[in-house]
Formats: sequence, structure tokens, C-alpha cells
Amino acid sequence: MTDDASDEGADAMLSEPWTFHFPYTRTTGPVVGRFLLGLRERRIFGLRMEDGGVLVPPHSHDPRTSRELTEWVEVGTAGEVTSWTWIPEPSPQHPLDRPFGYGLVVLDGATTGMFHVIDTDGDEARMKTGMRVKVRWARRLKGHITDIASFVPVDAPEPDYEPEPVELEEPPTAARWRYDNPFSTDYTILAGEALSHHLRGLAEGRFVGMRGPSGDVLIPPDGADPFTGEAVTEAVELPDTGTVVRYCVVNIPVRGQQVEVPFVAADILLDGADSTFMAMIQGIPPRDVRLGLRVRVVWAEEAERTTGFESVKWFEPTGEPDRDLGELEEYL
Amino acid sequence: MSGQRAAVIGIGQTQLARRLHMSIAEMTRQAARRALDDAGMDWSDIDAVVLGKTPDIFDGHLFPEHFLADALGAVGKPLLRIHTAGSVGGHTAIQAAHLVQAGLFEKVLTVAYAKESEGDINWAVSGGGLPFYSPLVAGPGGYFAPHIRAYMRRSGAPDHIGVKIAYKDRRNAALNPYAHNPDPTITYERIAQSPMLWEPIRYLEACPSSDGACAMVIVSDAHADRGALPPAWILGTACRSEPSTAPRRDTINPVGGREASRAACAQAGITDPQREIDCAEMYVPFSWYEAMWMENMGLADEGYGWRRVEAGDHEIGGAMPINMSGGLMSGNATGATGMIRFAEAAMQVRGQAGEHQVDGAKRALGHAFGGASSYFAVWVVGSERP
Amino acid sequence: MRDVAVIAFAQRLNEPCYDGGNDIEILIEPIRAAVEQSGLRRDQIDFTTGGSNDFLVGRAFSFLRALDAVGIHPAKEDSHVEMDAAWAFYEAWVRLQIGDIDTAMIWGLGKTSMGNIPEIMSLSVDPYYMAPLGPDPASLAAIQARALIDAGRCTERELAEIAAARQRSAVANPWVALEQPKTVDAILAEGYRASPLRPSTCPPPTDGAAALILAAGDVARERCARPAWIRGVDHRTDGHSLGVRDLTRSASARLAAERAGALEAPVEVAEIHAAFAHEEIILAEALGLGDGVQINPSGGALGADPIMATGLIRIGEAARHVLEGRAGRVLAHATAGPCLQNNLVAVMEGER
Repeated sequence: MTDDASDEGADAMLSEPWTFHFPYTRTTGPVVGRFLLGLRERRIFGLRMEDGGVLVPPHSHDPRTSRELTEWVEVGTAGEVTSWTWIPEPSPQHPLDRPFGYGLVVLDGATTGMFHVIDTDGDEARMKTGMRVKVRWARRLKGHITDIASFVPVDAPEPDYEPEPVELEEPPTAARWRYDNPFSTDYTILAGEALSHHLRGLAEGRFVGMRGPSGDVLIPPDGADPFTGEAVTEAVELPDTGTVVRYCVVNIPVRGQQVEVPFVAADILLDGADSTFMAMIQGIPPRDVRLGLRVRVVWAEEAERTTGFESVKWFEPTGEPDRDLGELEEYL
Repeated sequence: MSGQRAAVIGIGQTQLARRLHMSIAEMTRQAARRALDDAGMDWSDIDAVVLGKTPDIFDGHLFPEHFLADALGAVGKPLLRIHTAGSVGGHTAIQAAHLVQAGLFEKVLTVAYAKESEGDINWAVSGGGLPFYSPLVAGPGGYFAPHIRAYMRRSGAPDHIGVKIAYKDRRNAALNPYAHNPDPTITYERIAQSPMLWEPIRYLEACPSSDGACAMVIVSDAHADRGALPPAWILGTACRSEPSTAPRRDTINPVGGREASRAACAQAGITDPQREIDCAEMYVPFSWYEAMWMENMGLADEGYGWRRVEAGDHEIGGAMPINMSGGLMSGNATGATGMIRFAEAAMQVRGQAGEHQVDGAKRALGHAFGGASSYFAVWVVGSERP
Repeated sequence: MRDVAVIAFAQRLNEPCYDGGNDIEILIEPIRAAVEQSGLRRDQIDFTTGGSNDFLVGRAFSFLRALDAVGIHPAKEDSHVEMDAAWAFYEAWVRLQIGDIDTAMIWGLGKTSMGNIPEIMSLSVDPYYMAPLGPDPASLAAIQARALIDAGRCTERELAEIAAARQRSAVANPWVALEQPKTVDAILAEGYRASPLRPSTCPPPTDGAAALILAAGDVARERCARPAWIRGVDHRTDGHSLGVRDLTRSASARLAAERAGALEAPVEVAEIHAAFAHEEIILAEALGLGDGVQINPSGGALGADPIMATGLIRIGEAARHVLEGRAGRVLAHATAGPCLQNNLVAVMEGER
């Protein structure tokens, strides 16, 4: 059973929006930690470099020679802009939602430029190389680079709030300073030509593999035939039945899995396919699962089926006699 | 492999643990500084830097070689960043060796690290809900467990082999000053009775997740005697990858691993690795893989990996000591783990391994693998100048 | 140094959004084309390596899947860099220098249209002091452009002139989807993206992929009428912090050019990885590119910027001038990191 890739709604390459969320944390170490905790006290510290200059913001080492730096120097909270840009149309990744600048600021007493936000109330005309700016502290001081809300022109009025350090459960130590740094960004994930055939099949409750120049039928297909590097082009409909060729008993809950432990996860060789994929086995005590066991897919209810792997609930024994393992040796 | 002679003359590691009191720069610098000290060198002596780490998605630092350039003494020098899955530490060390063997540089610093504590490795491996992604039906260990079962079937290995290997590794880890939470009181029974996670993998047969870094200084012949300790000569290096989706691929004794070992041994002039290799450090995330990789690396006949374990050959003092450092049971900082294996092999032939030293080790093999048992890196190091 | 040459290069159409396939399928055609051009069978290629990035496609270990398109079955000596594939080219060249193998293939994958590149790239700078402020590469490049203007080294009009010229070349390049070049005045009439940079003086979002084949000595001569012999290749990095560097110069590009022998004799063609218009001015100086040098006849990265493949494409485009007999000595350059932090230079020549 084959059907031509081109006249099967192949125009509908599947794509899906997806938001990547990751709760990263950052561990600063003692040097960056000391600088960030200094901001919490509205003080700015740098480190003396080997050439006598002062590095702000500091790292543990000299930026040119890489040797360790140890002499702390407090610097001023005002300075000079040495270069800058203006962002007329901020996006959600930016710290301000109105036009603003980014620039390099050499603070009084420092000899290196610090990258930060420059806020002139949306007025680009006030941006000048050499302009004097001062720190605008954030309302809440958290021990983070954004404790400096921005740099503003030195003559800008003071804010109508008194910046306050955020209460911490215990006194912070620079060496163990860490904070959450969640990151999220939007993708539009494209399934690809070959995989779209397979995924559309899943939504309809049928298995579709792809055959490549090597003659092997791959399921799920990623796009290329691993033997030749060429595209897999021929969609091949496969039956609902297959054979267990590898498995293990899972005794701990797996994120995203609804079934109770223990359960069996098995590599299944669908009849007519050459590659295997992993699925759960139900309808048989885990102890009785064995190599060569014949199984049939249990599809999700039609209303719950999607163009995704969740359309396959699991596999259950068909009741047929086991396959002769001799025929499967290449997979075992 | 022809090319110039290359040798390891500096090795540095950090503690394997959650390193919450240091930044990535400080952690990698600690390993690098220790390697430089071992080599009798300073940052300015280094000609080029080669870096390896875990995938950027794991910790959310994209292209970290940029912000680490000055931390690692690379300003004004070549800085190359390798990324090849779990084997990355091995590939990274091999690339550093190549820079010397190709005659391009005399003194190369190579560094590998992972800061697992800044991310969530299980989340990252599971795809985080990526559309169209085949979910990990059984979790990370669930990928490997079926292959272990297949090995047991193929080789006739009895159930307790995994426990025996884990017991040896956990005892060895207690001899390793960098080990993650070593427990000198570990017993065979505690491992055997630890919860079965992914049958046949028990809790104490699986490696921990760690932060850590490893660094080496690799130099040409002219600089080989610069450190206080003797050099570890790099006798052979090889890496191989396989397409992980290829049907009927042998994932138990992968052709890529076999060929990598054969190639590295051939370069080293080794025809019978079982006799000529004195000990090995291998990437064994779940204890059973020691028996499998012994066969794959040619350190046991096919089907005899578990028998060498049964005979106790894998112990320090045995006929084929494996993972004297405790291997991954002493910690798994994924991005660094492969390089730690390579470095620990070099420590053995330099006589630098302290309490877990194999007496008289002259030739040692370092191994790393990654992907779906589809990326392999191997090196053979020796105490005698080739 | 062992004689190693580029003997084949192929890319697919560089376009804003390739929706005909995923991050594996986009690689199939250029790899197949490069292999065919080389006259080698895949199993005759001794070493493969590539450059790509997981974040672009939202998936850890994305390069594992890419290997299906490389065709390494059953197993091959192979590596991968999480850098522009130009650095994979370097890795392969180093490997061939050792002398025991003769051929290598390098692939570069830049499927950028699935993600939000400005957001993703904000993770590529100092994680404590810069990344939380959300800068994208254009914002950082703009700070460098301003420094160059303040130093009297260029004007906004000159930046627009560079962009217009590159767009004209890109339109003539069959591998770039750009159809209509903008005039200098039209570019100057664009709003700022990050002043003083405008959309046309920044790189366009691009999907692309490329593959390049290297061969040593007689193998190159047998397989290729006019191999592009690599006379030198080197890469160097600067420190990271913008506030420590002199942004009007590229010390690392200069050093790489010196080490690659680029300054020893003039080149006829230079393909340089100047994704932002002002970078051409900094690089032309650092790389010693005089008035007679044809810069970026392909349109360069201002015409198409498939991140992770852009640098490799510069090497391939430069090599093509030698392979096709149009030039005798060419230079290729690739860069990575904010404001030209890390730079690679390769010099190639025809048979002397």
C-alpha cells in the first residue's frame, strides 16, 4: 500500500507555534556576586586591572591577560557615554516599552565602558556621545543588573520613589549569590515534508512511514534516508500491528506520562517497517512482556487524536503467537 | 595517524558536585589553572584554546565561548568550540591534540564543562513539549535499559553484573578526591536493594548529575618535559559517528565504537588491546554499559565483557581495571565527562592518580560516547615516548 | 603545510523562510550537490563535520538528526562545532594537515525562520551584565557603527552605499532570493532599526544551508580541474566586553589575517562576513583589502545571512572564483560573537 507523496495534501506541511519556557538559574560566584549585591546597596564596585585601570563591571580576571584580579575599587554612579544606539521600536525582549538607548558608560573612576540602558524619556535628540549620565536606581533592588533601571542624563530629576532593597530570607553572600533567570521565546516549529506524512496519518488513526532510496521504510521519518543521505519520498501506509523487539520495565513516574507504574516501554517494529519506535505496552502484566510479542496499537479516541505522538495511547497484545526471534535477530 | 608527537603535560579538574559558589568562568578557570600549574605554565604560554560543553539549551548560555574567551586566556588566540553530544569532552580533547599533531600549535589548552545546576537536564532531554517531537516514553534511563536487556540476552549475562560494576565504581569513587558525594561505606547489598528504576537499572546503578570542569594542556614534543610530572604521550586518537536513525543498527556493540577503538589502537601500535592496554576510563552512565563497552572497545572478547566483570578483572589491581576514578558514578557533568575520562586515563600513565592509581600503568584508553550510542571518541595514551 | 584545496561547494537558495522542509530536509540538496560536484562517493569522504546551533530550531542535539542527510552510514570519522560552519571548515583543514586522510566534507545549517533570532541571540552575551538587558546583535552592532562614525571613519550615507551595492550584487546572485535592490536614498529613507543602523544596513533574516568538500594533494588534482588551494587559514578571538575593546578596530581579524598570510600579497576577491554594513569598513582595514579588491561579489551577509552557515558560504563563494577560473588569489572571512569578536581568515589560490 503506497500513496504518492504529491497528491495527498502534501501542501499542508505541518507547523505549530510553540513557546519555549526554561527556568534557568544563574550562579554568579563571588566577584559578579559582590558587584550585584553592591547594586542592592546602591554602590558600584570594580576591580583594578593589571594596567592600572578599573574594570566595571568586574569579572574575576583581567580582560586582556586573564590573570586573577583582587583589588576592589568603588567608583561613581555617574559617568560618560562613549557610544550608543537608539531603539525606536522596542520589542518584548527589551527592558523598556518606549523608545530608549543602549550605550557604553564609563563611570567616574572606571576606565572601561559598561553596557546598559540609557533612558531619555523617549527623546533621541538628547542622546550624544560624551553625554553625562547617572544611575537611575530601580524601585526594588534585587542584586541584579537591572537594579540599575537605566542611566539617565545627569540633570534628569530624581524619581518620585526611594529605592529599597528587596527583603531576603537570610543575609546574602556574594559567593553564593544566584537568581532565577527564566527565558521564553516563541518558535514556529516546522515538522518537515516527510514527518508531516506520518503525523497526518496519526491524526487519522493510521501509521504512515516513508521509504527512501535504500528501500527501507522509516517510521517516524525525519526527512533523510540515513543510508544514502537522500530524501525519503515514498509514503507507505503500515498496519496497526507489530512486534516487541526491545523493552524495559519502568518503575518510576515519567514526566508527562499518565499511566501508573510499573509499565513497559518497548521498541516496536511495525509490520512492514524497517525502523523501530518506542511506545508503552498495556493490557498485559509487565512480567509477561517478552521479545517477539505481537502487539496492536490502541489509538486515542478520535476526538483526542492530533498530528502528534499522543495519538498513540499504547500497544496491547494481539493474542497471536510470538514471532520467531530468529527472524528478528538483526533487531535484537 | 602520522603527524607530530603530542603529549598531555597538565591536567586539572574541579570537584564534581553542585557548584553554587562559582560562576562558569570561575569553575572553568579553576580547572584550567590547575592544568596550567601541573604543566608549569601560565595563561600567556598557551597558543590556542579548544572548548567543549553540554548543549546550550541545557543551561541557556548561547555560544558561551564568547563570554569565556578572556576567562580562558584566549584573547588574541584561536578559540574553537566543539559540540558532539555526550562524547563532546572526548572530541574536544582530540581536536586539541590535532592542533598539535598537525604541527600548527605547540601548547594548547583544552577545557570542557557542564553547569547542570543552571538548567534542568531532564526537561531539556525530554524536549520540553516541542511539537512533533517523539516523547521519551520512558525517561532518559528508559532509552538505555532496553539495550541493556538486549545485551543480557545476547551475552547470557546474569542479573547481578550491573550491581557488581556499580559496587566497584562506587568504591573507586571513594578514592577519587573530585567525586560527587562519595560514600566509602557503600555495600553491594545497598546497591542491589536500591529501587529498580528502569529494569534492569537500579537507582544506585545510575550516575548522578553534577557540575564540573576538566582541563588539559597538550603540547608538542619540544615542551613535553616542561611539567614536574612525566608526560602522557598521545599514541592514538579516533572518533566515529553513526546515523542514529538507521534501522538494524547494532546499538549494543556499535560499529562506530568498534572502529574508533580499532583505529586508535592501530595508531598506538596495539594489536591486542586486551594484553597491551593496562587500564581504561570509559563513559558508563549506567553500570551495565561497562560490560558492553569493554567488548565494544576490544577490551573483552564479544560476549565476555560480563565474564571479565565476574572474574573481577575490572578492579584496580585486576587484569583490566576499568574506571579507576569511579567513572560516572563519581559524578556526571555531561559536557566535561568525556574529557574527564580522557584525563583520568592520562593521569594513570603519568602515575598521577593517587589512591586510584593502577600500579605500573603504561598504556591507558579513554573513551566517551554520546547521542543514541552514536557518537564515539577514543584515545590511547602511554608513558613511553612513541 | 600540506596542500589542501576546496574542490566543491554547494548551497541552497538563501531565502527569508524556506517552508519546504525541516532542518534536515534543508540540508539534503546542498550536500548531495557538493558530493556530486566533487566526483567522490559519500563513502570516499574520510571526515565530516558541520556547524549548526540547537537554539535556532529549539531542540537539543539537533545535529544528530542532521547526520541523516550527511550520509555517514555505517560510521565515519565525524565532528561538529556549535559555531559558524567556517570553524568546522577549520577543524576539517586541521584534520587533513595531519596527513593520514585525504578528503573531508563540511556542512553548515542556518534554519533561522523557526525562532525569534533577536531574542535567542540575546543569550549569546555576558549572562550577568548584558543578557538580562535584552540586546540583539543589531543593537550591539549599532554601538560599534556609532563609534566608527564618531571616529570620522564613515557616514550613514556611506553605510547606505555599502548596503545598496551589496543588494545589487545579491540580486545578481542566483543563490539569493532578493529580487529588487534598494537605492541609497531609499535606504536612507528607512527608519532606524537601531540607530545608526537601518533594516538594509543589517542582515536580512535568512534560511540557508551549504556544503563544501576539501581534498588534499593529488586527490584534489584528480577530482578538480582548478582546486582552490588553501594557502593559509587562521582564527583569533578578542575579549568579550564591548567596553574593554576598541570597537573601531578588529584586532583579532588583523591577527588572523597576518597568521593566514593574507597580507603577504594582494587578493583579487574577498568574501567577508560583514553582516552589518559598517563591519565592512573595519574588516577591509584589518584584512588589508585595498582599492583593487572586489569585496563580496555574492552580496555577502547583507544579501543573505543564514546564521551558522554564513561564514562557510563566504569560504565557498570565494573558492568558486578560483574553481571557476575567475581569480587566482582570494580571501574568505567569517566572524562570530558580538561586534566582530571572533574572526577567521582563509586565503586560497589557484595552481601557481
